[in-house]
Amino acid sequence: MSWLPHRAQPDDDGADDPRPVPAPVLTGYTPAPEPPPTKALAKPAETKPGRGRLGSLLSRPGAKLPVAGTAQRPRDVIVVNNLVKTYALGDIEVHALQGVSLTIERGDFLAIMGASGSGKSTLMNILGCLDLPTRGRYLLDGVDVRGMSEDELSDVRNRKIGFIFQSFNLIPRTEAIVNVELPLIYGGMRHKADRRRRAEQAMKSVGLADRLHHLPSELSGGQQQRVAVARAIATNPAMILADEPTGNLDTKATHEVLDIFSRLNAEGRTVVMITHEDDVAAVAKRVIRLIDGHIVDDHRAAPVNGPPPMYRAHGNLNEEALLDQVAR
Amino acid sequence: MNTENFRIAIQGILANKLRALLTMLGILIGVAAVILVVAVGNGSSKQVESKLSALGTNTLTVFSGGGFSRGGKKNGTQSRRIVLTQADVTAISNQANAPDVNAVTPVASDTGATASYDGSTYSPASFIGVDPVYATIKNWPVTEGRFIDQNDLTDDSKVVVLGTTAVTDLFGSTSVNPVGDEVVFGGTTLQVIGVLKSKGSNGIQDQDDIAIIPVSTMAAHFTGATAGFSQLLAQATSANTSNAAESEILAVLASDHGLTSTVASTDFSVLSQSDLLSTTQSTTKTFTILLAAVAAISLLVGGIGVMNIMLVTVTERTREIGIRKAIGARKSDILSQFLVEAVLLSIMGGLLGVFGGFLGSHFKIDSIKPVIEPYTVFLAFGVSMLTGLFFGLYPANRAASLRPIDALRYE
Repeated sequence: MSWLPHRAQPDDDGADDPRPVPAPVLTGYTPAPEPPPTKALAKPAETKPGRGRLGSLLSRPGAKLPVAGTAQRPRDVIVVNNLVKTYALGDIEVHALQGVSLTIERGDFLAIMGASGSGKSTLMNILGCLDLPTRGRYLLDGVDVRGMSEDELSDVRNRKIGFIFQSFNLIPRTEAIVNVELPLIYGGMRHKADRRRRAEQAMKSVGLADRLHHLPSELSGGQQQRVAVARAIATNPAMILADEPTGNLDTKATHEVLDIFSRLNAEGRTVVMITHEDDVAAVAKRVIRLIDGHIVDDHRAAPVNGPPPMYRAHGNLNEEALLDQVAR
Repeated sequence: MNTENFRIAIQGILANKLRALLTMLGILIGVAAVILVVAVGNGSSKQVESKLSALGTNTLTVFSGGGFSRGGKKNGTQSRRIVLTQADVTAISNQANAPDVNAVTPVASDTGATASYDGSTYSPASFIGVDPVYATIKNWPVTEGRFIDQNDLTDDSKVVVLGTTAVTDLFGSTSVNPVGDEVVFGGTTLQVIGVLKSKGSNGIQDQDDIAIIPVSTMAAHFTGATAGFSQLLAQATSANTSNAAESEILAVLASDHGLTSTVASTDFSVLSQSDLLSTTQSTTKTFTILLAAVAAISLLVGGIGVMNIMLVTVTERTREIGIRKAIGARKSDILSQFLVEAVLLSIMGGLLGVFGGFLGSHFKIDSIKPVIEPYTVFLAFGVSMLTGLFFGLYPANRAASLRPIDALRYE
């Protein structure tokens, strides 16, 4: 596998590719790219101009870029200020988040931990733009998502977030490669050949180049989750958001998926992972604990600029060491 | 619209082939029924049209009006039945009175006469007495023997010409040649002199269920001399003069019976073949519209079937909708995906229905050959498409409006 050794190697696809593809050409570990927020929004040339996903995001009045008071450094992918989320469950008010403030830097690998009911799923939904906070500011890659319409949120999710779910959530009866192409289709990428090439690269980077035309039902859980990872990185999003990604996997598949996360992070991608397992959180550079809607612990295990812990500890990922840890 | 949504919608249909097929069946039946019902109605009116025009559009039938006299209307004490007589026939035959009438024959009928031959008995639907010219006016040749001639008329000959149904009923089979045999009609023995060519049904009754004798014989042996005639059958010189002939006949009858001509039209009525044609056609049209309405309702039911299945599909695929939205599908993407699916279902059903309609039109239905009206094909197909659009809109909109967070959580 070309991705296992982590020194830079030109992607074998690159040679016959007439134009540079901005998306997941995986070239081993490089420092996190740091374009200014506006630049990060720039559309790839082949996206459909008519949809105006970018235009609508930038021109809308609510989309204030770095605002006084919540000065956002260019490194920050996520700035969350005093986030409050209250649900009305019948007559009872549920305070799922009670003033969460959090900044996630580009290139970080963050694990959010907490027992069920701690508000971590609510936080994940808000960070993933699936839900809006009751109060508080949320800047995603420099864009304030407050007051966005449903379609604008769809566009933000499409361009900036790569979702990975506990239950894989691949579209059933649809080939793996088509699943990976879907976000590109919704992103307005017109040319099938371009889409297919990018999706194939994403599939290759998760080690499933030989499973392109398999249906989800023909793949193992680990393989399905890797297809989901490929789908998440296909659009080259600002952040990969994984909700209990290993919750439905056995130890071997867990190892495979965490291995991929570490590598993606080593390549400069921001990864936010929600989990309740300590050994899974151990692969992250920074671990946050939530209890009753408050952040109670914020621990940094490794610097943002360096490789993730498991990666650093073993040079290459040491399978036995990780398996050993997972088994514990 | 994103063309990818087309592919996604087709995948959605292919994922559930049996269900898609059954849903299409509803539309198929509706479309095929509309096309076929109109085609059968159309075919039946074409058939009646051709039968009646074969008889000649210049034939006129004169009835005495309803059997009630003017006297009854005047004071209610005296009732005088107006009857058609030989004098009327003679007056109409006179070229000076009615120049546009080519020929006229009385039609005297005796109802309830029973015929018997060699133990088998039979009551003809029509037992009539006519002049020899009847065969010319009706354009009705004999296949065996001869028709009544002038000698039979002057001699009150005891002869009869039978229709094929009468032959079958009396002699057991049409292959028998009954000419020369003697049949007893209500106590009078009549000799069979001819068999009429089979005409089949005119849509109302079997025209071959008939026995014809000279009108003089009818008066002498059956109805009596004073009974008069139930009808006169006349032939105009051409189709164009049929209206003129009609008013001439009414005028002659009015003067014969001492009536003013305005009153005459209520005492006598003249029915031309073209009147009969338009009456039959309007009846057929009414039935066709009625049946087409029933067929259209079945199309509506098919549309409701599409809506039903789309609602099930949306519920079933709630999670999928959530996934699609999470990875960036807009409202319009989801809307068009499900709308295209619904419209494709009904278009395919519509196309199959058109095919079924064409297939069905190759079969005769109750001896009527359906004739497809081209407009019904476009109408039925267009309506089926609109049905899909209309009934697909609600489920598709429901899918598009799902909140991703709820849809993802759906189990």
